[in-house]
Amino acid sequence: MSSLLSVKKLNVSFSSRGETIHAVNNLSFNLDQNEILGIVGESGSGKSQTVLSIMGLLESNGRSSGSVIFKDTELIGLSSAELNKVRGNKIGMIFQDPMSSLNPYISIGQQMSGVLRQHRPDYAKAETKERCIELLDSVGIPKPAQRYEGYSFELSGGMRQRVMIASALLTNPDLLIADEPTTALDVTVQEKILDLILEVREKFSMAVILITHDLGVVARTCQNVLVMKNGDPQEYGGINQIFYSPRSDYTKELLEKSREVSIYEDQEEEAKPKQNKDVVVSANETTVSFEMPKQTLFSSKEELIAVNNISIKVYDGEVLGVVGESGSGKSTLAKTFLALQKPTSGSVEVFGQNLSEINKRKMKEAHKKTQVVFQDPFSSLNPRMTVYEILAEPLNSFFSAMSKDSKDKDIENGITEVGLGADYLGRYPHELSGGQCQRVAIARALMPKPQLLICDEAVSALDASIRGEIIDLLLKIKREKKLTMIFIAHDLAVVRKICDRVIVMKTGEIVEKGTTSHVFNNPEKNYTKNLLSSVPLPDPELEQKKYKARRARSNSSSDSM
Amino acid sequence: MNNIKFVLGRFLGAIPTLLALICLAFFLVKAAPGGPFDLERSLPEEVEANLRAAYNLDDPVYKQLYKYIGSILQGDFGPSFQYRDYTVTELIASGFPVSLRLGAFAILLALLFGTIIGTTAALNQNTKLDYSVMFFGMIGISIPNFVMAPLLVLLFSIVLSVFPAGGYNNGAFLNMVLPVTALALPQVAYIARLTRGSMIEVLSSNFVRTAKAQGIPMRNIIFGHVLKPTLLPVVSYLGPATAAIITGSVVVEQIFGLPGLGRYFVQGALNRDYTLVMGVVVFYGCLIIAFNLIVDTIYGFIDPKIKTSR
Repeated sequence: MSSLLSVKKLNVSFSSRGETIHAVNNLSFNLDQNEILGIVGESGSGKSQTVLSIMGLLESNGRSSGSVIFKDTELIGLSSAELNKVRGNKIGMIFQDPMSSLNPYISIGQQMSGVLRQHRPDYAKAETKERCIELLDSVGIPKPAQRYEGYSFELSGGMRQRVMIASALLTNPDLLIADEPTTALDVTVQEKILDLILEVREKFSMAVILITHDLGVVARTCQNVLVMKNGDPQEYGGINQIFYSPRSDYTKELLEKSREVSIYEDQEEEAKPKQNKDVVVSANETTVSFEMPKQTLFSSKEELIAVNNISIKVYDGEVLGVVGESGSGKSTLAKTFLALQKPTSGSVEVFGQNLSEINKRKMKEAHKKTQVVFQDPFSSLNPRMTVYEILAEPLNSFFSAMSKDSKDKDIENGITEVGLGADYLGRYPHELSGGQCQRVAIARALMPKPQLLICDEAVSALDASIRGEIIDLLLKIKREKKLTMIFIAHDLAVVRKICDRVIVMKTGEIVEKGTTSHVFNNPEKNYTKNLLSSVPLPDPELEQKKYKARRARSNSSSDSM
Repeated sequence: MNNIKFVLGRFLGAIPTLLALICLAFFLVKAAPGGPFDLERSLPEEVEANLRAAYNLDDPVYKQLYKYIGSILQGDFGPSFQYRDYTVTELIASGFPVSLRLGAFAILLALLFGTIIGTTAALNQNTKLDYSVMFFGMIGISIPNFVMAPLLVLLFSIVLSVFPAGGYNNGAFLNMVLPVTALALPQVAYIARLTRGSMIEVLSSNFVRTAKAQGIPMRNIIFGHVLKPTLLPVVSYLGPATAAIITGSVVVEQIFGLPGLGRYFVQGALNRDYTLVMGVVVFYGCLIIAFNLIVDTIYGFIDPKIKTSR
């Protein structure tokens, strides 16, 4: 049997300001009918450019050469009119960011029927609509007929990705290309989307190319794996070979890194919760609610309760992890500790001061002791300030009496402490990589010598290897400065690695709390168990078992219905 | 339901704006030196005193303002000081159709050509075509219409003799071409630049990539996916554009000798015809507020996000 897709010596390059940048070098692989191939690599490895060149979707300054044969058709060099007979018809594609990949200005129905109008011009209008609704239904969208009329921004991220999948499947394609389909989603949603991809693959009997940076995702989904680095293929083989007897050094390195931050690893001696220590933060029956816009003139006011009656204490020197899906209220809770959000009821005490009652001067003192690092390192640094100015700002506001010389010295110490040299001080944020930006953000947070550091998804936007480095940096800082830390993350592996205690949040409430090892090893609540088991691990056999168990469970539950 | 509430809210919000506009215009007109009865040969004092009393000009200023607002509320702009036998309302009624014809053609022309030129430039981004369109766009924006209009007259009326240099001639097509062009050109240029920028941004968005991956040809992507979000900023510019067209028409009508509102406005201002100037200002104010309201409502229909949150 000839293969469905055969890529031979594919090269992709970009010309930018007279320079040529090679994104993919000499890549060859084959894809059979019904095969699931995973392409893994970190950002910049050329994995996305590979599939974009297959689809003829490279940016205008990109060039591809080599050969991509899909069902006896050479795709490289095909005119866009010819390509349009293949893409969206024989090959469906879904993208990383379901938020922006759907058009918010036209209805979901208009978008989906546009695909059919293009590739199935013989369909009648009613037939087109029927087919779209059928597909929406088959990817698990509730009330598909209603959604057909609706818009993408009315849906959650997971639902949007389902709509994307439904649109890609409208024409019964032979190949589905999924470019980081779950990276922007919560773990529990990720699990469902990956299961859905496996399910529709069987139902529509098609092949899948799954691109991801997460080895766990590959382990749970794919049959064959292609590992890439800087545009070069590193290793290509079956999933068991790649995971259990990797040949290339880079694959070994990737696997090591992904296992390093795995949730089932045993930690060294567990730090006992120190009850006799001082309480740094205490939330007492804290509730935060937001008023929702009224639906009609006469409807009653609706409230969204983001944080619901939460009481916790954070002790001096500990690292408290806060985990939960998006929308669980974890960031809102952190904002109340920073006095960025006033609790609707209840109180928040930080260093013994009730934040809603203290005056401006005391508030400044509290801000000095409490600092924060946010998720997106690019947007949380002012793009018009140099690193020096960014680091000087907390000094100017908290230590205005300080001399310029000692400020300069502090700033220099600050930047070296986070592993960057003094030569970075003159740069602007856009001249730094994501990891370097986050280092600057951490240095900035440490400038006023805080005692409490709140990390709000501080490593979520970073690549796996950089994530490891930043976590190590945070741990080092915590040890050296005896900081108390509150670490908010949806990434459970990270929390497992650095936190002493964990609280699990769901829709504004604490579902479970306890020491990290207790919560991770013996979760009591179903919600926590679900959350933990939905994290994909870089272990194909284990993932297979988990998948079979889920299938069995969902089958039995649907039988009993 | 919510749309009605929105429109009603905007109407109520317009009242203080209008009041402020009336007061400002009132004091500005009063602050200008001279008065309506300053003629070359001064009137006998008794006559002037009688005239002032007849037009309530001997009252204290606040009382005049109060009376004026009162009569406007009844829809009465008062008699013109200059055109003795007409009320201001009659003058507006005779001038407005001319101005409307001019302004409406100018706006339509600006919209049509602006979007087409902008789209062409965006689709040929960073080519010679794009650069030249943007170059002429910049020129169109920076040359004021009182320079453009005589230039057009010079070229098309005097050198080429295709269009008449002035006059209304009951709105004959040939007579309208030059004034409409002079009035619309800066707007064409502005809308073209706006459309180009907006479309380039939309073209680079992820949902366009999705549509390409779905095998939809570029033509259909432009019409089905790109045009609507591209036009949003253009629609919201229509409010300011009307204001610009109205102010432009004051000059253009004067240059081409069209008997529109703008000409009354200029002559009223020169002659200290208080009621006429005030009347036209208030009328223009209402017009601009109403048009902005219409634009906002249209915007709500195009952008589904606003439709649902309203």
